[in-house]
Amino acid sequence: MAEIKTNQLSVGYGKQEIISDLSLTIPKSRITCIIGPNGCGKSTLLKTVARLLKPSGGTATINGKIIHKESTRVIAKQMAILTQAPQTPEDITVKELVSYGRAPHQKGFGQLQAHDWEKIHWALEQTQLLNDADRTVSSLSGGQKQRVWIAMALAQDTNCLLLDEPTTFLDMAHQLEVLQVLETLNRKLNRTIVMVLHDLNHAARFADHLIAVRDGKVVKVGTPEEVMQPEVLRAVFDIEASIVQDPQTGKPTLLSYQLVQ
Amino acid sequence: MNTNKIIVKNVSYLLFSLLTLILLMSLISLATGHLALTPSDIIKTVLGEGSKRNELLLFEFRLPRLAIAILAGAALAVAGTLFQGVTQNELADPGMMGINAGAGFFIVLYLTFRAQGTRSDGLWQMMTLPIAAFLGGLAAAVCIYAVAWKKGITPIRMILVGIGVNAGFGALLTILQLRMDQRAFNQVTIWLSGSIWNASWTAVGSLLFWTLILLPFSLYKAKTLNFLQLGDEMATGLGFHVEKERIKLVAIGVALAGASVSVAGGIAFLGLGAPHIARKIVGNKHQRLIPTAACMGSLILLLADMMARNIFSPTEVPVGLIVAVLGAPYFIYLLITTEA
Amino acid sequence: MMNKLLSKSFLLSAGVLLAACSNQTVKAPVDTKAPASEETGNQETTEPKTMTDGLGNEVEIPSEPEKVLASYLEDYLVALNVTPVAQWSVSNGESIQDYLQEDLMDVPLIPHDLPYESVLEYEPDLLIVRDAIEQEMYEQYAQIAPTYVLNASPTEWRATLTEMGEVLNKEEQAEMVIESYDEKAAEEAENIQAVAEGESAAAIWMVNNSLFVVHPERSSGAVMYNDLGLAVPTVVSELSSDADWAAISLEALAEMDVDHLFFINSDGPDAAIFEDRLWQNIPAVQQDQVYTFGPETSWLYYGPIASEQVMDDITESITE
Repeated sequence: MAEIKTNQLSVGYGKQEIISDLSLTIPKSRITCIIGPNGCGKSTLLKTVARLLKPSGGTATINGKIIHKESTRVIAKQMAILTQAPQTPEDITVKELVSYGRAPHQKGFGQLQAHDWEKIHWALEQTQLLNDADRTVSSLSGGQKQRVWIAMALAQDTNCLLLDEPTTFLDMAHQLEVLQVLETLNRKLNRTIVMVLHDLNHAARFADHLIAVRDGKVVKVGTPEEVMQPEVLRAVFDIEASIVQDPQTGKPTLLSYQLVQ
Repeated sequence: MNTNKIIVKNVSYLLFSLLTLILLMSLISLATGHLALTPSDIIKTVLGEGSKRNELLLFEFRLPRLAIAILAGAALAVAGTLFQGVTQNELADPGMMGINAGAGFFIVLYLTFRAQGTRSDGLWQMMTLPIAAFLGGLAAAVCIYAVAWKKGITPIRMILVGIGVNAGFGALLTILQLRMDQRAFNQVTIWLSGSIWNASWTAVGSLLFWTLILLPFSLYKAKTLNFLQLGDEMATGLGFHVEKERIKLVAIGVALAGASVSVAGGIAFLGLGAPHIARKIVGNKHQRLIPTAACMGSLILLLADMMARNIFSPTEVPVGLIVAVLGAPYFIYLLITTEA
Repeated sequence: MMNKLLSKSFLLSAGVLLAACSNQTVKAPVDTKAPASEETGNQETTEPKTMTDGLGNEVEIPSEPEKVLASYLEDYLVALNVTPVAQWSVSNGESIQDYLQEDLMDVPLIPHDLPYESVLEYEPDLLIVRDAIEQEMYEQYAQIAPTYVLNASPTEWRATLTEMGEVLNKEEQAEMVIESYDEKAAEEAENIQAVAEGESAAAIWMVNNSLFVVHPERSSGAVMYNDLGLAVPTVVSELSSDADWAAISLEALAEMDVDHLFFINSDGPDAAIFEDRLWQNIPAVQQDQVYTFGPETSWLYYGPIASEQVMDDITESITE
């Protein structure tokens, strides 16, 4: 059963429409990756689903409820988001930042209860940050920082995680680190994960479900094998792609590409 | 990013020390002035055995001024903290964004059109003046929102428009002033640069009333301010209605600034400087920042008032001038020492 | 630790509370001297009287005030033979009413804005205020001493003197001063007309290289035109400003058709204006009918004494 759906969704900034008439389904408990060239609307799509942007037409729903009509708090208990390059408050420790994830569950004066601390502890455990809990976030490496944000999203205790280019500014090892954490979350805990990824091969490797977008419209939806096809990549990225099977992962991989003649 | 910070871990100890310092400075302030008042005089007078003159000096003049300096200092500092939190900008200040100018304009308007020469009830005026100030500050805030709103309001737009609103109300104020006679003009000019001259117990009562409500409420909002530091998008993701919260926080800040302006005139820099200094000492978490900023604000204004009364004794310098004179070098120093 | 914090805070609040409570008992302004009830050799009424002042306050005025403070109203005090407890001054004595110093020689100075502590220092028993002030300020002063804000306009010295006389229980003396002044004025007016019939005069004040001309009905202007009957030059009557002294350019002054020019010079004998051709071409300058006075004279002030001194200056200048 599908969890998140969009129905003829249109989103624009001012007069310009970035996404037009987009209908899709995000499968529950799967890792879905949205790929596409710059400016195709993938970030916009994610942000709109996360109710950070308002659609100019159509709807986005979660479990049948229209996202933009629900209170932001209610949505926060169902989906956690991680935007691109989030602001880290100065001098905040890992533990403190992760504890922010409990916000939607807190009442009144907002004192953290034992139950909250359990979740925080658990989130730190899942992201292997227990030993770093009292360090300041700014003293961590790029990959570690991203893990802290993911831990915060985890502490939020939601079924869905939406991430906007979570690996873009990290170096290779850290990129893999982060993606593997997310993969484990999905495999072990059945969390629905939706991410916008820049790197095609990462998307192909980690996604169960790929959505290829161009100019605000869906070009192809399906498994990595279905989407990583030369015709699709030509239509989406204007490239002539050579695709092989990665011997280690068994997933389709872009070996090299040429410009379209 | 400024790396030379002293972050005091034990905040309750710090607050206790600050309060003690305030108490100490208060006693010193009470003992200094054109007329001599020694500590033993003070004790005698408090016990009811002082001379008539000392009783008047202590209870009718110096003590109310002290109370106002402490309360207004705290109120302005917290207002500044709130504005800085809302705009996510350390240089935001209700004074800079036109709130004080709006409040001042409405107050001067109110005082001008109040029937001249009729005996006005001091108490009535004391209760209604902060309301006039609040309405003025609110008018400025509304102007900011009206101009800067574009499906929501970003912090940077807020500040930029605020600067414009400040200029606008300043201009209106000047126009109003130019239509006054010489004496009224002078009075308003002095008042606008901040003076605690007319401190009376009714003024204290009025300010106390507002601060007792608004300061704890600000503290209650400390967590919200913390979350706003994550940026609008992440804060929304955590379930905060960012626009609504911003409006609430702006309203509290405007009320605090307005109450202060209605009693102590326009005092610049405090809303900017006090939280700034406090942040250097205790960092950015608002549960510690707000009380620390409040204490810093009280201390600074207390000190400034003491200087204002004594530098050219017996003539008084408007306290806002002293604060500005103290504040300007601090900021120049910051500019010089901050990494590019 | 918490207990220490609590007890200190408690002490602090207790201190403030105590101060506030003590305040309640000092509410009513109390005279340090009881109203003179059974004093010897006193022919005046011994009851303190109540008058309504310019702010609408009912003020209980002591009948024998001994320490009167009436800043910028010292002229009237001197005329009524009252020595104030302190006198008006600007910038720590840089500027005082020089023309009154013969009578005020030993009177200490107080800043013109009447800072609270200065007023308290002199412990006056009666405070007379010239201009309207804010009610809060009034209430603060009233705590120190009965405070009376004048009803009369300070530009009307006779009305002011009459009111001051009433406040100080010297109504008859005030009347006498006005009568004798008016008699003298009538006499001097005749003397002047005998020598300078129908001639015009103007008073020009130079300060900081700017020129001002006196309003025909204010200060020394009232003396010249109303009391002594000198004619008002056209240029002066055409000025529409309501200020006591209206700004005037050197060009306008040069065009003024005036017979006698009274020049109040605050800038000293080396002022640049004397070198200016426009100045040197003014008819009154050429005919040597410019009479110069310094800022220490009474030309810029109000009051019976100021007016009389101006009258003497004019008479001396014109009839010599």
